[in-house]
Amino acid sequence: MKYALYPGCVAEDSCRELGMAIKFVTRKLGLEMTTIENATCCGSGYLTAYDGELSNFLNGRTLALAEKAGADTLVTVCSLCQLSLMKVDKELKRDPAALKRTNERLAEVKLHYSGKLKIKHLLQVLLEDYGIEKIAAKVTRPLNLKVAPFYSCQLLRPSDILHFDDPEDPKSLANLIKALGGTPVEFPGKTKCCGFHILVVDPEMAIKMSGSILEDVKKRGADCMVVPCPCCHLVFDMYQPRIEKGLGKKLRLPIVHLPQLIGLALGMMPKELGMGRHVADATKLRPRAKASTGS
Amino acid sequence: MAENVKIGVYVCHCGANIGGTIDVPGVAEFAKGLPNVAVSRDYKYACSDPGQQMIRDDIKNLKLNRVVVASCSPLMHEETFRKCCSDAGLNPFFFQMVNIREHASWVHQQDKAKATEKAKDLVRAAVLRVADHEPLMKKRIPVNPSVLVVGGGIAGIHAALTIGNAGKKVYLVEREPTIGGHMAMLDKTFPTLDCAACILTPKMTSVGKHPNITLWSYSDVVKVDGYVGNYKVTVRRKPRYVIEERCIGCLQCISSCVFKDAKFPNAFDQNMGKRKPVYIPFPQAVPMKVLVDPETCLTLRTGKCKQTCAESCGQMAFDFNQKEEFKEIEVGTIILSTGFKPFDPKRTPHLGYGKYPNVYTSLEVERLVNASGPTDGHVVMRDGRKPESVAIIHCVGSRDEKTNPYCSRVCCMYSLKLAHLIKEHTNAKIYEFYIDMRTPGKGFEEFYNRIAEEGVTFIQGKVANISPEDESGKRVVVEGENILIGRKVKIPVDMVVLAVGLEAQSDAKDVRRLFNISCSEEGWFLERHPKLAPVSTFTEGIFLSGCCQGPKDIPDTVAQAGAAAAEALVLIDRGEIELEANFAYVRENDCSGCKSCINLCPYSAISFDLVKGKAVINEALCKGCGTCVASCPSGAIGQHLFEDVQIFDEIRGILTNGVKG
Repeated sequence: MKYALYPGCVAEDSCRELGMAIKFVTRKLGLEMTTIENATCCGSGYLTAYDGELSNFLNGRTLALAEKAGADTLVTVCSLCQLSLMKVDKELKRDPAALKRTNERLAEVKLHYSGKLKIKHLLQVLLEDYGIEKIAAKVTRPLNLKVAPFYSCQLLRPSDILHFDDPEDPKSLANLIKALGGTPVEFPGKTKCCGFHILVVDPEMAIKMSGSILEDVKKRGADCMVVPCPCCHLVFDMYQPRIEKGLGKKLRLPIVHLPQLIGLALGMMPKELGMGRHVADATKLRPRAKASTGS
Repeated sequence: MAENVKIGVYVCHCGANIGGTIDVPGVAEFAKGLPNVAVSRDYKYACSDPGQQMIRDDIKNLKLNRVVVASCSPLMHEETFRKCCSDAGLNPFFFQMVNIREHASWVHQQDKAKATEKAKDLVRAAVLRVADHEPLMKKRIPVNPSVLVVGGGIAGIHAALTIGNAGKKVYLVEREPTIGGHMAMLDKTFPTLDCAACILTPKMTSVGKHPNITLWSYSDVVKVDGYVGNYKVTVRRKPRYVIEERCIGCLQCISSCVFKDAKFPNAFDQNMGKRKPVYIPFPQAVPMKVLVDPETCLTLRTGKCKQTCAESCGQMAFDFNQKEEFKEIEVGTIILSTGFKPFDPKRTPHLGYGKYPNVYTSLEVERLVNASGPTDGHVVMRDGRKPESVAIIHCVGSRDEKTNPYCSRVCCMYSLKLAHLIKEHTNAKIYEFYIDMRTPGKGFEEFYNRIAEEGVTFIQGKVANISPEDESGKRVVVEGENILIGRKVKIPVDMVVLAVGLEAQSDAKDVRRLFNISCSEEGWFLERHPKLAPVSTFTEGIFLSGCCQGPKDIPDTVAQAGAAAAEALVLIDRGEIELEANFAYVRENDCSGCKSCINLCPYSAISFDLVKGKAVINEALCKGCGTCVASCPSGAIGQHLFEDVQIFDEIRGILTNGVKG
């Protein structure tokens, strides 16, 4: 398995800590990944809806770059990227005419997409390729924390494109938390949408949506919440002060990126993992010495 | 061709159906010039009385020996005109029908000239063909007056009683240890709130006592041979490990069983109640005979048991060596009334069934409210609490692309009924989440109003999610929407009742093969015509009744059962049936015994005569599909009404003017 990492826009900039965490953690796990250079934004779903052909060309270029780097699997760290790339790839795999048109444009920049790439989110790579037992074996500091798994809706649905886990009652992230020595906090909102896409359109609605999720998670005694998508992270972390204002109470709930959670269990320090950049303070989040008791 | 062929051609206007697109007089005029045509007329409605009289008069006066009618589909009027011919003394198979309505006028309304040309080609083909027709006869075979009814729910019970009361012999085969079906599990029935057991058990006992009904419970059908009027059926009687004739239903064995307490799930109580290895399914079971479950009985599983049951039996009815028995019966007609199975809500996981103990199916709640159920009629949940708030959710598994697209027809009514019963037993606050309220029957809308007036809250909107309110698991939160006020709702309730839909039985696709009938895509047995022949199938002599044909309530089920019984009695009363004349036949001299045809027949109508070394076609089973005719390498198989010369005549007639571009 040869991996090419597609960091996407958010991991490079707004959530720079995600980019940092990925580098350290993949190194610690022994997962080799080449980062794709000069890739473009995936279009966040908007582009695919607005202009399918352009989205095919732009994302086709990303896929071609991954192949050029010698990879057979492209790794994403953001649900929006995952869904956008999967949608485009499905179209290119299904329709030879679309693939031909895309490759004609790519030829202009001396690129070509064979249509054979696999596209997986980091969570998928860890569970399907790397193996949960291997991860558990590398854990040096079991978390002993109550971690709420937030699946991020575009990682699961539409299930006929993403083909990952059970879209109604997923267990993958909860299993990973257990492997890291944590206790997953089951809550009904785990498959819900955080409201990222309507943040600019109707911020009050987005705050209500994410607020009810955070409130529920906090009520169930979670020490933190892990999100596999940096866009969700923006909503839950960066907007947490506004959410607190909307709810009329303090939450102080650390929102953790997937590689950060793994990094903690591998013995890394929160600052190393970029947790100092978070708005909702996460610097004090670290594995407990013994299993937490009570709720 | 026979000598002196004289053909009468009649081209019908069918009002404007044909006349509006095709130049009907022109076609009639054209037909006058065709070979052997003695007379050619056009008429407004050939199928009418005066139209038919005209044909009969021509046959008599002009000594016609062939008739061609160009009008609508043979499915509509072929029989009409055939009878018209035979009434005038002409063999009905000297008649040929031409469809210039569905095949020309209706499909080519845009191009009248071409439609007319096509009609002429079709008429020419028929005229050439009919000259080569042979006189044929419809054979009659006797019908065995006995009837097999498969399935002993209310449908099978009613059908069996109807036929038994008509003086005919009925075999009623039911695979559960008791008859009664799903109706026996219900508490009250809508809209009258009649007690289900009170109205059902008298019928059940009638069946058990009826001199004309042989009731074989705990049995199933394993083989069906033969054809309409002469079916040979093999029934397997499963071992109860109790000699049925000796058991008097005193139930002493159950109290004496080495298991002091009942601890195995009772399927009749939807696995909520407990029973012992020796048991009866419910107190009013018919036949009132115990049976032993081989999965849980110590003797049958391990061979080691004191067998206190057998010891205590005053009739010495126990026989742990009992084996299954195969019985062969001969019947003339078969009525299928195998019922339905409830939708399994584990397939809609967002509603929490199986995950949360306070989520129930409607059938489970029926057993809870029933006085002979696992909780003696008290509505208490699995943790022993009485619910103070209940949500009833409609359309579980129905009206949904992901599960079943159809409406299951009974759930709105039974949800209203359950709301009433639960409220009566607990005085809980009831919320009904519905999409539409479907209450079409007699007294149904009035029942809906009554329940609304009893203070049940109706919320129109689908339920998205059910999840526990908190760690205690005491209540669950039902998340849905109330579209009438345009708001989302989140209601915490103690208990959730899922109004599960109806589905075909899980083995419907196997059962239908046994009886050689068809199923629809969803698995319901296929009726011959949805409007005009709802209880007949495409296989002669096999009828349907009840939910096996599609979801329906008890009044409709009983009506259908009566209808199926009547259809069966038609055949029995006539005493004989007519076979279609267009069956295939083997020209023995030409048959080389290669057996190519035998496995090709979809109706298993061809067998091999080992003595003669020739293929033999059973005229009663043959449906005239023509597969064997086409496949025979020696050309030894012919088919009446579709002989080679007749088919080539038609082809010549159609292509006489060459292939048009």
